[in-house]
Order: sequence, then C-alpha cells, then structure tokens
Amino acid sequence: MPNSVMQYRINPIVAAIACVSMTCIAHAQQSTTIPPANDSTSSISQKTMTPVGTDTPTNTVTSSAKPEPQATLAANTNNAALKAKVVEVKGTVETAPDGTEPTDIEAWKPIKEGDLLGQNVMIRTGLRSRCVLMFGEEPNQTVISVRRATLAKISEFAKTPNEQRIRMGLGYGAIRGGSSEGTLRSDVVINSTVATLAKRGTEGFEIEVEPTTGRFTISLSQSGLVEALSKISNQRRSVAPGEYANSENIAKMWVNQDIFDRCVRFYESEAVSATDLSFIARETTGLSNLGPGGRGLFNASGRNLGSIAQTLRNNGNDLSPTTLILPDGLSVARPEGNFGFGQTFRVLTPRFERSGLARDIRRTRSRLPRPSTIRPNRLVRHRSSSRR
Amino acid sequence: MHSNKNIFVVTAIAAMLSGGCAHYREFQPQVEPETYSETQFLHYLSSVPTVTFAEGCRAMLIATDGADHFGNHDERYAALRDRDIVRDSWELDPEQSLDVSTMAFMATKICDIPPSVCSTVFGSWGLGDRRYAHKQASAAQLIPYEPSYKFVTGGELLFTVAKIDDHLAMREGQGEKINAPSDVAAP
Repeated sequence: MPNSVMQYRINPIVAAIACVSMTCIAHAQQSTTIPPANDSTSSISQKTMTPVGTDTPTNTVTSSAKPEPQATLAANTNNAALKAKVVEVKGTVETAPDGTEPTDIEAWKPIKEGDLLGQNVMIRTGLRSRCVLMFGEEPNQTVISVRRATLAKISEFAKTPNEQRIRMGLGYGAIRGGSSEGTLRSDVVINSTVATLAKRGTEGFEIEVEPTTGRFTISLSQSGLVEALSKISNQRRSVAPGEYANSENIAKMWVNQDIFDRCVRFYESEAVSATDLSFIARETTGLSNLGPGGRGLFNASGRNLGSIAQTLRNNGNDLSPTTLILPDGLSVARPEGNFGFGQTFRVLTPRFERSGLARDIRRTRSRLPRPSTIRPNRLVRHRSSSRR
Repeated sequence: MHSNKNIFVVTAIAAMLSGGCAHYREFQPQVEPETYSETQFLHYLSSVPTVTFAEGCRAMLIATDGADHFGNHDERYAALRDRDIVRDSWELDPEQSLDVSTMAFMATKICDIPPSVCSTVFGSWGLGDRRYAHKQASAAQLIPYEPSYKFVTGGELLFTVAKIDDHLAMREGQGEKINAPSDVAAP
C-alpha cells in the first residue's frame, strides 16, 4: 500500500487542516475489492441452488478462482453454471478473472456482444462506455447495465425450481437494471463495500457507489420495490419508485425527499415562459427535472421525456398545455397527496388557446396587479390602475 | 509590545497564505501513470490518495474528448488552456496536488454550466473564479460536497469525471435509456 503521507512546507495550522483531511482520506481508503456474493446482511435466505445447465458458449469468459459455497453447492449437481449474455457493448468494456487489480495492464481483455460471462468474472468500463448483460431466458429475464467508469463483478448466477438468483459485486461506479418475473421469482442482490441493493421484482433500479469515499445512492425509477442497506450505519430502507436512498438520507428518507428534494413548484404569472409551459405540459408525474438550459426533461432514471412526448405527438396525441386545465375543486389523485397547482394554471383559459400563448402571456404580465391582489379566474380581464 | 504582536499575527497569516497553496504529494505510484491507457488511468485514480494537477488535467481531457490524444502534460495543459478550462494565472505546477475548487472550475467549464452573476463579474477578473465554480459545481452535483481548499482524492476525481460524462451524455441526448428487459433486443 503506498505511503499516503503528504509533505507540508508550512505552519502548524495548515498542517492541522491537512491532518484532518488525511484522516478522512485514510478512512476512505477502503478497499475497492468487490465484496463476496454471499452477503450475510442480505435478508434473502440461503437456499440450496440447483443450477440449470446451458449450451457450451462459443466465447466464454470464466474464472479459475475458487468457487464460493453457493457455487460449490451448484457444482455438486454436475450441471454447468449459468452464464450471462452480453447483449450490448459501447465504448471500452473489459473483463478479467476475479481478483485482478483494476490497473493490471495484461489481464484485462475486451468483450464484445454475444460473449457469455460466467461466475467470478470482473468487468471494468471506461468513460462513454457501458455494457448490458442479460441473465436468463424469457420470460424470466434480468437485464443489468454496467455503466461508465465502473468496476463490477458477476458473483453468482443460478436457478432453483422456483427462483432465479443473481449476485453482483460493485467496487465503484454504477449498475442499473431491471427484471421481469415470469415463471420464476427473480432474486437480485448487488453488493458493494458500502451498501447493498436487493431487488424485489422491479424495473429501473440503480446503485451508484463513489470510489473511496463511501458515498452511495440507490434509486428506483419505474416500478416494484428495492431494499437499500447501508453497511456503515447498518440501516435498511425500502425504496419505492421515484425515491432514492443514499448515505445521508437513508435514515430519514421520506422526510428529506418529500420536503426538500421534491420538485413542488408554484407558478406565478410573471415567471411563466414558453419553456415553463412546455415543462408543465409534459411533466405529469412530478418525478422529472428540466435539463440544463431548458433542454429536455429527464426523469429519475435519466430518461429524456422529450423523446417520449415527441413520440406521442407523432402518434396523434396532443400535448398542449390545455391538457392540464382542471375545473375548480378537481384534484389529481397522487399517492403522496395533492399539492395543488399554482395560480398560473388558472390563467390558462381557452382565451389563451384562441389568441396565441406567447402574446397572451405578455399581455397578462403587463396587466397584472401586485401578486397579493390576484383574483383567480379574473386575471386576464383585470387591470391595475396603479400601473397606468 | 502591542505593535510587535500585530506584526507577528500579520506575518503568521502571510506565511499561511503564501505556503498554503503550494502543496505536493509524497506518494509516488509504482507504475508511471503516463504509461496507462485512458481506461487504465481512470481505474488507477480509484487507488491513489491524492492526485496531482497533471493527473487532473489528463482526467479532465479524457472526460472532455473521450480520449487522450496528447503525449505529455504540456500539450494537455495547452489544449485545456485554449478552451479556458485551466488558467495560467493559477500558476499550478504539474506535480502540485489538485484541490476541490480547481477541479470544480474545470468541471463547470467542461459541462458549460451557466455562470452566476458573481462568477461573471468577479470571476472574469480571476478573483474567486474557482471559489464560485465550486458552488456551481456542488449545486449541479458534479463534485462531492467538500471544502474548496481540500485536496482531491483519486476516487473523488473519478467520481467527478463520471458525473461529467453523465452530464455530457444527457446534454447530447445520449443518456442511457435501458430500464427493463423489454427495452433490450436480444442479438
């Protein structure tokens, strides 16, 4: 292990600051080795695995590492271990046997689409790179996407008569995935040095681990339920769609996300622009954010909703702002409660449709009295004598 | 007596300010990082306790271009300087440790984060440019929330480079969209 002591030229104050920093760094020097598959903290009971054999792959990457107890159990059945199929490779994606250093120059070999990866195989990716792995066959498929700058490992892939079991290790970086449960129950656990993600039949889960610092984020974007476990604080949380748990909020996740993180906006007439209206028109879930510079909408999984809206338009579905106009007293049923709409929505009367959106916004702005005197439903006709 | 005390305090502060910026790491990697490929270099970063300014420049260049087309630090520095990602006025040596605010400035420039008013007015003079960039990068979640004067670990640099990669991919409309098995067409 290299000596991490730094050389300081200066006075004790700066040295003291640096010592504090070094303490943090030393604390963060947790090994980036990928944790074993059989995490004792996992709530999934250890069952006898009966792997189902597959055809011999044409291009198989396997490891000579000592098999883990579950795999040993599997080997006793004289069946070959299951293998994950590489269905997409983008950029630089390399693989090596378990235990290889991430900086090893010789051991890492590139993989390509169609390769089959066995147990105890490590995967590393570069920037602008990712690799998508398919576990199992229809209808019991699990897709795992190893994202950019990631060090990961396939720890276990086995089947029982009623369960498909997948264990992956994550040194650092991010893993995203989803699974469909058909005839078998899908049991997926992604284990890192600081946190564990256990899936309970979901689509769109993600775990991201920051190297050396111990920070992590576990999120779920689509459906199902994910269980997040922080190994540092030993706290456990269920993550529902649209939520995330990280090292800071895992103990008080609901409070933080509902009050501070949620995008609850109140639109005042002065603030409405064409971009805002476009956002309001397309944002119907409360789970998206406007992209940088107003370019596109992105939801929690990073999906660009703009393309979805465009697809709907192409199919003849109108997404004009009037789709959000609601009569007084009518609320949208939301599981977390109805936060209501700002007054701007009341401005969006059919008059706006007839006369053109931008022109009416300008007119409305010029006619608006002070916000405290705004009376809903009368904004357009109201004239403020104080401004003339 | 009182004036002597003031002189001592001023001298101490001056010494702290003058020396606090120059900071070199003693740790030396077993393999020269210049010999690593881009991917090896990124994963090498995850194992080092601190990174130098030269390593930071190389990582940021890889994040910007997706590849490192240059052979040494001087060429990389010139390429970054031409894009206003680094500035000569900082007077940083290649072997000097990289701090959080410098990394934040590079990240905000690469991601083209719109500058704040203070950053536009004062940062254009070089006054607090990195400090303001630190706030912007923190708000954009490009960097870990750390003090601006802290020296960056290799893992934090790798994290920031990955976030920049995410940001650029989303801006170009190439964010990853796979969420479900039904989204994946088997080959």
